[in-house]
Amino acid sequence: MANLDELKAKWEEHDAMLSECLRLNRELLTAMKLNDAESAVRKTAVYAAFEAAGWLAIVVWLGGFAASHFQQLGVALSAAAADVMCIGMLVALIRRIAGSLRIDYGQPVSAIQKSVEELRMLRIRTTQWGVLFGTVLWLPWLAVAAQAVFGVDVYKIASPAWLVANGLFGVVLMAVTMWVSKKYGERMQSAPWMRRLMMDLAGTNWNAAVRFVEGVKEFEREQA
Amino acid sequence: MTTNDQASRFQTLLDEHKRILFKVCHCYCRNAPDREDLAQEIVVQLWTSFGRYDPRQRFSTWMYRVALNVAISFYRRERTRTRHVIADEEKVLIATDESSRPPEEIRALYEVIERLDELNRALLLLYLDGNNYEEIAAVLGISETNVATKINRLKNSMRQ
Repeated sequence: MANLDELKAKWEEHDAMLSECLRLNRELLTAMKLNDAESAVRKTAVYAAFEAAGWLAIVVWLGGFAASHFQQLGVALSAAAADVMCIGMLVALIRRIAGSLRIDYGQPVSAIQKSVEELRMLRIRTTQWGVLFGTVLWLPWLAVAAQAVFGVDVYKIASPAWLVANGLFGVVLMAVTMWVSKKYGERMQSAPWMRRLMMDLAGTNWNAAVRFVEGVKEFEREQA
Repeated sequence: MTTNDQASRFQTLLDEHKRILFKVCHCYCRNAPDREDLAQEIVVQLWTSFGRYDPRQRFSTWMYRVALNVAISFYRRERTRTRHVIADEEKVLIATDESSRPPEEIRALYEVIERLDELNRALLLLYLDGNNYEEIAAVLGISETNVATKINRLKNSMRQ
């Protein structure tokens, strides 16, 4: 490979030509991009606000449900467990929204990249914990739904064996979900969102994010 | 300042610095449709962040920061877009003649850049673009000594 300074001179020659042979598409910017950019930002903010409002509504409803069924201990505890999970999801969402709002892309690259990656890590952890608790808490969710929709207390009508079997089903479902994600996550090329979800669950994306943050820190501190 | 004035000022500054957009996209994307997507994302982010731009700061420093931050995030993200051919009128930057196509030596240099990690790509691009160590340090958020060390290391590794 040639000397970097020689290549730099060639680069500068090519760079000088770029000004002449490139044209900024002002028509495109005026007609579409600039207005779209603002509306896209607004849409994202509105979507995040709706999502947070949705979680808040569930948290409030579950809290009220648990309180109003305190005499049915199983149902009340199930609702309380589900409520704790939803509070966790709401807090994580608010932290992500606040983190996104704080990011200013005009700040130095190493600092912003760490912030962006830390937000990604928060998203991955939220997904992992959400799916983990969602599957493990399968039985409590079922108990709350049965009581709310049909007025049936599953803990009273179901046999202990059925309850244990369903409790175990939640744990097995979680384990199978993790195994399938690890085994097939990277192969899901045709469904990118599914691939991302599975790689989040498998921990692949988490490990990559940790490596990247470590890389940025090393880039910042590296000296002679 | 009205939104129209601000948009007009933004477009003028972007036009003066369009080469930065071109080179950042070429450093972080191998194929043309991805480059176009990245160019559009960078322009959108530049515009949405433009209100926070401090005119006492050099526009190029601020633009490098935004463009590189968006490019690195774009590069690290899973992309869901299907490949398609993009017509000229949909492109942010339009080549008015064939000279915009990098010559052989520059293409070879882009290949060297592609082999570097995301942050060292940014460092090399800033160096090739003629920025001094102080400017590079300001864009990347590292010390000037660190920049000098890394540039020397890159020079040595390229000699080998």
